[in-house]
Parts: sequence; structure tokens; C-alpha cells
Amino acid sequence: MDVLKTSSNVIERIVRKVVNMIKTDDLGKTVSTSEGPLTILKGIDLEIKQSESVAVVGESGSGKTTLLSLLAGLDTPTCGRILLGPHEITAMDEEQRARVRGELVGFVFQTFQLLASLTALENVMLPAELKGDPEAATSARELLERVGLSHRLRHYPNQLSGGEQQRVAIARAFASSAEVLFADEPTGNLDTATGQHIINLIFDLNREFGTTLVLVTHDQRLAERCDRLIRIASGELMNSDTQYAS
Amino acid sequence: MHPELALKLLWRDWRAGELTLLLASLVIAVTTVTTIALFADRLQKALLQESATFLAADRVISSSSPIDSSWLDKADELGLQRAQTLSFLSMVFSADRAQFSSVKAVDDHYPLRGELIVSDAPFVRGHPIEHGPKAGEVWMESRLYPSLDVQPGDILDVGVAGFPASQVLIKEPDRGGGFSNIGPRVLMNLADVTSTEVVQPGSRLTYRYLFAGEEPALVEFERWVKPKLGVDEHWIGVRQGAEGIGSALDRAERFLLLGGLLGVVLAGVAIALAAQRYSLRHYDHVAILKTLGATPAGIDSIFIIILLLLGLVATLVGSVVGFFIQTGITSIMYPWIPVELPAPGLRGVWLGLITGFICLLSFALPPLLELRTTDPVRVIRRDLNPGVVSSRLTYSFAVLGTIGLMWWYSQNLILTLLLFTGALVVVVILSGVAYIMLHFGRVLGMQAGSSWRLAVAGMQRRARGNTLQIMVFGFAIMLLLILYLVRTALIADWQGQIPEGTPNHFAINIAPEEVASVSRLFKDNNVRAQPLYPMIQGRITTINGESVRERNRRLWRERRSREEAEKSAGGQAGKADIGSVSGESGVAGSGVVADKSDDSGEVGEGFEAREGGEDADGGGRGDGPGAGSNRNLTWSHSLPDDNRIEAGKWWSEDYAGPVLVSLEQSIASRSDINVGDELNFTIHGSEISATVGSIRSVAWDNMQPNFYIIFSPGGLEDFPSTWMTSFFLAPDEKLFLNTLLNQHPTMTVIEIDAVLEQIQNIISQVTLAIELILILILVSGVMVLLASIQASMDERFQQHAILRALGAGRRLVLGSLVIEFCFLGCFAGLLATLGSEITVYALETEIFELDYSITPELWLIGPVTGTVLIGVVGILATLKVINTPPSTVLREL
Repeated sequence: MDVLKTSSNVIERIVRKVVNMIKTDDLGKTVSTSEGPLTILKGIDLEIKQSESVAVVGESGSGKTTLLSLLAGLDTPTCGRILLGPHEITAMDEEQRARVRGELVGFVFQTFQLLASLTALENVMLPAELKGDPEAATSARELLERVGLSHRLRHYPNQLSGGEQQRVAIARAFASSAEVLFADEPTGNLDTATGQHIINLIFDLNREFGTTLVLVTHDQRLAERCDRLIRIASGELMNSDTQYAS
Repeated sequence: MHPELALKLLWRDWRAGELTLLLASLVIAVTTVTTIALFADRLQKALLQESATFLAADRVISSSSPIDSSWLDKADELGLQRAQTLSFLSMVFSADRAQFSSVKAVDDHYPLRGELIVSDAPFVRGHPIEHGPKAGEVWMESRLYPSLDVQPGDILDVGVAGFPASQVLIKEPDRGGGFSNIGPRVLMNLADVTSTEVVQPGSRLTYRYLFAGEEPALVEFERWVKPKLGVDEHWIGVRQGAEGIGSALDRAERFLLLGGLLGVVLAGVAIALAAQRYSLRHYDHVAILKTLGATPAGIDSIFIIILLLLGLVATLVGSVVGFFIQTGITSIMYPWIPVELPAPGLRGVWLGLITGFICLLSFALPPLLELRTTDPVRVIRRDLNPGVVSSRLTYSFAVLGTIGLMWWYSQNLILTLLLFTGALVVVVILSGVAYIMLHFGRVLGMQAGSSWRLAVAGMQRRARGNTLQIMVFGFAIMLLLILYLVRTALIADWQGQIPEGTPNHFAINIAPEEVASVSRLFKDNNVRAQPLYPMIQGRITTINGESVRERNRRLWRERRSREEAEKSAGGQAGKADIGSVSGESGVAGSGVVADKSDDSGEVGEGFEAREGGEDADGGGRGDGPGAGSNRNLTWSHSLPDDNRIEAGKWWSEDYAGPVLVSLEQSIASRSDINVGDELNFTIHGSEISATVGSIRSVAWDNMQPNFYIIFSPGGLEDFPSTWMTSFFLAPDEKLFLNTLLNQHPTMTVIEIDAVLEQIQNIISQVTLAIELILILILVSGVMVLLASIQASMDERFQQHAILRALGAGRRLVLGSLVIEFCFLGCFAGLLATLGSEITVYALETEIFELDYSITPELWLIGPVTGTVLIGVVGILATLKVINTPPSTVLREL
């Protein structure tokens, strides 16, 4: 039995390494401004495999955040297509994209984005609640315990420190059993020590849950911990093949 | 559906104070509507009850012969109370004197409404008593005692029977004027009438059958009996029964209605503003929820649940508060309200509840539904606009909701559309002017000191928001000014309607040879009297050679077929509305009408319905009195006071040409008579022809002799006439009547002083009601101001926190706030004045039928009110901005 189990795990890992979680074809985003159309992204062809961790780096204004929002289905491109898991999200309306987000995607933001009116526990319960999961509270409690906040369940965001708020946000991101975690500068608002703690937490959980991680960051140390680095400059993909870890 | 999440958000929003303003606006809306509806309902019932005392009943059937007994059975079957009276003119005798009197015999149930007041001695105040005289006794009014030289208890002979005059009749509810009431009153029991043998075949009698009871039963009875009424039988409701107050009541109702409408609109604006703010503050929430997988439909369900719960709480709280406020108002006002207010009905509460929900759906729902469109990418890109609320959606909901509510409230589409269009035009003008004013304000502000520059720059930067704010402020102030202006005009008009010294007695049957001595008597006793007019009975027989009867039938058939054509074209609803808007100008007057057709069976029954039933001239039911009826004609050199020429022209003072007549406009319109038409009259068996020289409008409510038909001087010279006039007597001058009647025993005096007093009472109640409604609307107005200020609070907090962090003192920030609000208030006040003048012009001329005149003081009151009101409310509401430490605000940015 053990042999069988080990084999299936190995097979799963191999399958994961070859199956695309995210794929884009000729992705572009142009917005109109008072001074004419402005191209933010163009010709992005990208593949991100299951369980892979990818850091998106680039200068401010290079388009990395826009890329993240497009890949997560938060925004829509002007051209090209995006496959997120089995879904072509570029062919979907907002209602369908929201369902895909709820089903596949978790987020961690620089500004935490917790609902100020809900407690830590309620914030973590949200994704499962939106799916109608009756066990929302139990799993949320477990996750909060996992991020070391079991003593802060009933606290509101404004009663928590920045690091604690980000931990709540991480717990929330994993509460939806997401397959892809998008993180936008997750340590941007935190001091070095807290930031390090948060990075460890994200990568630990990522490994534990086998999640695909797409991370936008300026932080070189953080980028280095990812499997792969994608560099963006002036809206174009510069390279996507630097392998930091195996 | 995420009910648990919705409940959680609702609870947290409530605890965080996010819902306070929205909930307060909703509660105020419901409270205002409930209070107005309940109070108006009670007042209306009270006024109708009071008015019913004019009839001594809720409804009356008047007839010159006994009515079918099955009608009375039907009334009994419906559970109506009933009573009966019989009036006739007769000589009554004391031991050695006689007096022509108006006798009224009443049964034991009389009166059903109002009260009789009697005393033991003449000319004293007296006390109320429940029923009329018992069989075997009579009551006489004060003046008859000296006139007949009797004391209370002495025997009075009516016909062949003698009765002790046991009490002095001071006041009876349905005194009225009219033919059967022209002499001093003797009240007796109906059971005694047979024994007097006065009532003989051919006697001129007025039977009145009085009914009272619950409104549905009365309506049912009316529906059943009306088609059965003969030419001779008249159905009289409260309004027709007391035309003197009919128009006052109509106008008061329209005012209350207008107040209610404006209340709803104001509340709607407050709700819309509060909901807009709530929605703006939730864009981030929704963006987060969406990134976590909430679908637009899911977002809808969350906010619809929140809204419904909010609506439920607000409407319930509002209804209860409204109920208690109106109870409170009523008990505070109790000593000043001369009548007992009936218990409030449930209608007001329902009205409040439904209004609350409609307001919520039309004003609050659209901004909340817009939340579904929030861009989830906002969680990353905070600089993105917080979504733009689709104006079209919001406005269409609000427009539909407002029109729907106004229509439902007023049951009057024309009034609704008129008000709505008026308001819309005003809003468009206001926003345009406000924008221009802001632009010039910027130019001026740049020259001024730092507080000024800060204030004006702030206003300019938020030009769009501020234009909206000025508009909202202006709109609220405008509505208040409109109510104030209309109220003032209405009250002035009512008080002017029966000014001090209005004639309260009519003298008729004055012989030509008595004219000089009667005039002298008036003069010697300083009695304020109108000119004396001759009165000759006659009727129009042909118009341009066509018989009046034939012409009226033809016109009636034509009108009917036209109406049916309109009805089949779907115009029924609109038509019904027009009727109630324009007011029945033909019957709006009160009045003692000197000239009444005698085909109604009640010549000069002053408070009878003037449109009264089918005319003898065969014209059928039309929109004016019949031309072919027997009428009192007169002639005059000059146009009587308060008459106005509508077509043609009045003859010169020394006119001596061919015979001309001037017709009152309703009589002319009903028979389609125009200037230049040839009319033939039958007067005392002789024929006379005359040309129509003019058509007049007549102020029927001026308590002066008024005539439908006036001849040119000399036109009626050959016919014998009697004369008439009207005059004023104060209560302590009533004995003058005895002197007058002793010297001129053949003349008849109709006393309407008691009726006039009742009218004045009712007018004072209505005035009071209107003032109260104004106060309620004022509260709604302030609420709108608060909501509007609250809507800009977030931005103010941020702006002033940054300024203070940069070192600006509290004084500078406070100064800029004061300047900004006073500036906005002054702008808004100016615009409100302009808007209210325009709207009041339309309202007064189109709805209330009053004369409009510009109000110069308003141009000062408006801007000053705006500046002070908005200045004070604004500063008080934004003190928090100054008192919150900038660090707290900046941390939350």
C-alpha cells in the first residue's frame, strides 16, 4: 500500500510539473488617457505550471501589478487570452470570473485588504462562506491557529498590528483551498523582521497546500525564494527562464 | 444568497455608525409622512364632522314631499341613524301680536350632528341640549319674544294649536339661509304638526331627511339612493351642504397634500444622499468580496437583504414615532383646537410604511445596486475611481418613485405632473446658475485672504459636488419657502373672504315704497348695508329663437357623446383628475345667492348645492345652473362690487338704448350663450327680449346680493318689483331687527350670522393645521441639509487633516468652513427664492385659484435664511472635522 501511495505522489508531482496552471497568449492591455491610448502591457506569452512559484519583478510602472490583476481575473485585457486552470477567463463575464476566483484563487495584498467591519475570524471565514461551506468557521479557526493568531480571533483589523493583519490575510488566502495564490508586494508595508516572518509563512503554507504562487515584488530576497523570476519592463516580458530553485 | 454575511455586515455597519444617517433619513421620511397623514386624516375627519353640523347630519335628502319609505328602510338596514325635519313659513300668534316665522318641526332624533343651544331667557349665551322640543311645546329664537311681546312659558299659536314657548332657541346647527328659513325661527316637535292644521295640500314645505353613520354605509346608501332621486329630491353631502367652507376645505386639503408631497420629496433626497454615501464607503468592501469570489448577483443579494432589514426597522420605528408625534402634537394643541379630533385611522400608518419602502427602493436601492459593478482590481489599484453610479439608473428609479408616490398620495395625476415638471425645470435652472456662481466665486475668492481662498478653492475643486449641494440646499429651502408663501396667501385669502363687517343678514321682499325708509333706517342706526337692488321673477324662454329646453337637451346630448368618445379613447383617468384640480369653480362659492332658481324647490336655500340635480328646463345634469329656470332678475346702472366682465362690456352709467342683459358666466356657459345673442324672457306673463351685452364672473362668497341676470337700466321698468339688500349686525345689535321688522312687517330678513361664525371657526382650525405641517416639513428640510453635508464629510476630513498636518490652525480651517457654508447657503437661498417665486406663481394661479403677487421681502428672507440655516447646520455638523486629531484621520487614509 505504501509503495502505491508513494508512486501516486510521485506521479502527481510529475503531472503538476508539466501541467499549466496559467497560460497567456499575446496578452495586452491598453488604456485611454487624455493624451491618447497608453499601452501598459503588450505581447505577453507566459506559462506557469502547477505548484510553481513565480516572482514578477520590474520597475515601478512597468506593468507587473497590471499583469497580476489580469492573471487573477480581477481585470480584463484589451487583447490576448488567459487560461487559468481549465478556464479561459478572457472569455468570461464578471459573474463567471468571480466564480473562478472563488474556486481557484487566493490573494495576499500589500495593504492587507481586510474588511474592517469583520473580526479576524470572520475575515478568514469569508471565502468559504461565499462558497456556502458550512464548515467555514472550523477551517478558519484552524488556519488562524496555523498562522499563530488563535488568541486574536475576535479582534478587528484596526486592533491588530500590520504583521498580524497580513497573517490574517494569508490565512484567508488559504481558506478558500485556492490552487493559485497571487501576492502583491506582501511585505511592502512591513518591517524587515516581520516581512521575513510573513515570507516564511507564505512559502511554508504554499508548500503544504501545493499551491501555485505568483508574487509581485521589489524585494530581491523574496524573489530569490521563488522557482522562477519573470522580469517586466515597459509592459513587455524581458525573460522568464531564470531558475532560482528546483 | 449570503444572509449571514449580510447580517454581519449590517450589524457591524450599524455599530460603526455607517448606517446612522441612512436610517435617520428613512425614519424621518416615514415619521413625516405618518405624522402628516395621521394628523391630516384626523383633522379632515374633524373638519368634516364640524362641517356636518351645518347639516345637523352627515348626509341629507331634501324634498318638497315625503320620500319613499323604502329609502328609509334601506338606511335602517345599513345601520344609519336618521332624523327628520319639516320646514314651512307660517304666521305665529301671541295673545295680541302676530309674526311671520320660519317654523321647523323636528323629530326626537334631531339633530344627528352638532348641537342645539337653548336658554331660559332671550339674548343670553345658553347651554347645549341634546334633542329638540318635546311634543306639546315650542322653542322660539330670542328676537321673537320682544317681537310677539311674550315671555318664556307664554302660549304661542301655530295654526290652530297653541303651545307654550318653553325655551329660547339660541342656536341650531343647520340654520342656513334660504326660503324656508327667512323668518325668525320657531322650533317644534314633528308630532305636533298635524294638530296645527297648517300643512295643507299645496303648502310649500321642505322635508329634510337626515342621515348619519359610518362612511362606508353612507357611501353605500348614496350609491343606492342617488339613481332613485326625482327632480324634486336632492342629495346633500357635507361639502354641498356647507359651500361656504367647501372651498376652504378643498384648499386646505390641497395644502396638506402639497405638504405631504414635498415632505416625501425632501425625505427622498435625504435618503438618496445618505445611500450614495453609504455606497461610496462600501466600494472597497465590495472589491475585496469580489476578489474572494463574490459574484455580482451575490453582492446584490447582500445589499438587498441589508436594505430590506434597514427598511423594515426604519418603517416600523418611523411609524411608531410618527404616531406618537402626532398624538403629542394633538395633546399640546388640544386647548387651541376647538373641536374634538376623532381617533386616527390605520390609513396614516399604512401610508407611512408603504412610503418608507417605496422611498427606500427608489432612492436608496439604485446606489446600492451599483455596488455590483465595483471593479475588483480596486484592491490593487486604489487610485481607481470608486465606480461611477449610473446616473440614468439612479435618476430613473428616483423619478419613477417620486412620481409614483406623488400620484398615489394625491390621487391626482395633473397635480403630480405639474409639480414634478416644475421642480425639474427649477432644478435644471438652479444647477446651471449654481455652476456659474461658483465659477465667479473662484475669481473673487482668489483676490481674498487665505480662509477665503481656501474656502472658494475648495468649492471650485468640488464644483460638481458643490453644484449638487447648492441644488439640494436650494431645493430644500425652496420647498420651505413655497409652503410658507402658499400658506400665507391661503390664510390671507381665507381671512379676506369673510372680513370684519361682512354682511351677515339679507333683507328681501322690500316693497318699492319702502326703499327710502329702509335706507334711512340703516343710515340712522349706523348699520353697514349694501345698496338696494330690485328683484323681479322671470325666466329665459328662447335663445336666438331656439327654446331653452330644446337647446339644453341638444347641448347635453352633444356633451355626453363627446365625453363617451373621450372615455372610449382612454381619457377617463385624466378627466377625473382635471375635475378635482381645477376646483368646481361653478360651485366653489358659498353663499347666500340672492338669485336662485325656484325649480329646485327651495328658492334662496343659501347653503343648498347650487349645481343641484336636474333642472326643470330639461338640460339634464350639466356644469352650471340652467338658463331656463325661474330666476330673480335685477337691473343696475353700475357693475356690482366683486363682479368682473369676462366678455363684452358693461353699459355706461347713463345708458338708455335697447335692452341689454349681463349674464353670469356659468349660466351662459351651460346654455352656450354668447355676447350678442338674443334672449326672450317671460316676466309676469309678458314677453321681453334683450341682447346679451356682457358675461360676468361673480364672487359668490362675498355675502352680498348677487344675480345671475342683470338688465340694463330701464329694461325692467314696466314690471312690479321687490327690493333686497344685505347688511352687517354685530351680536349686540340684533335687536335692530325688531325695529326694522316692526316698521316694515312685510319685509323678510335672512340671518346668516351664526353660519358665518361657524365658517370662521373652521378656517382658524385649518390655519392651525397648516402651520403644524409647515413645522414638520422644516424638520425634513434640515434632515436633507444634514445628509448633504454628511455626504461631503469624508473629503472634508481628509482635506482638513492634511491642512492641519501642514500647520494650518484651527481658526483657518474653521474660517474656511464658515465661509464655505455661508457662501453655499447664500447661493442656495438666492436660487431658492427665484425657484419658489416661479413655482408659487404656478401653484397659486393653477391649483389654489388665488391671485399671485411677487413677494419683495422674500428676496431678503431667502438668502438670509440660506446663509444662517446652512451656516449653522453646516458648522455644527462639521465641528467633528476640526475636533478630530489629524493623525487619526491620516492613519485611516
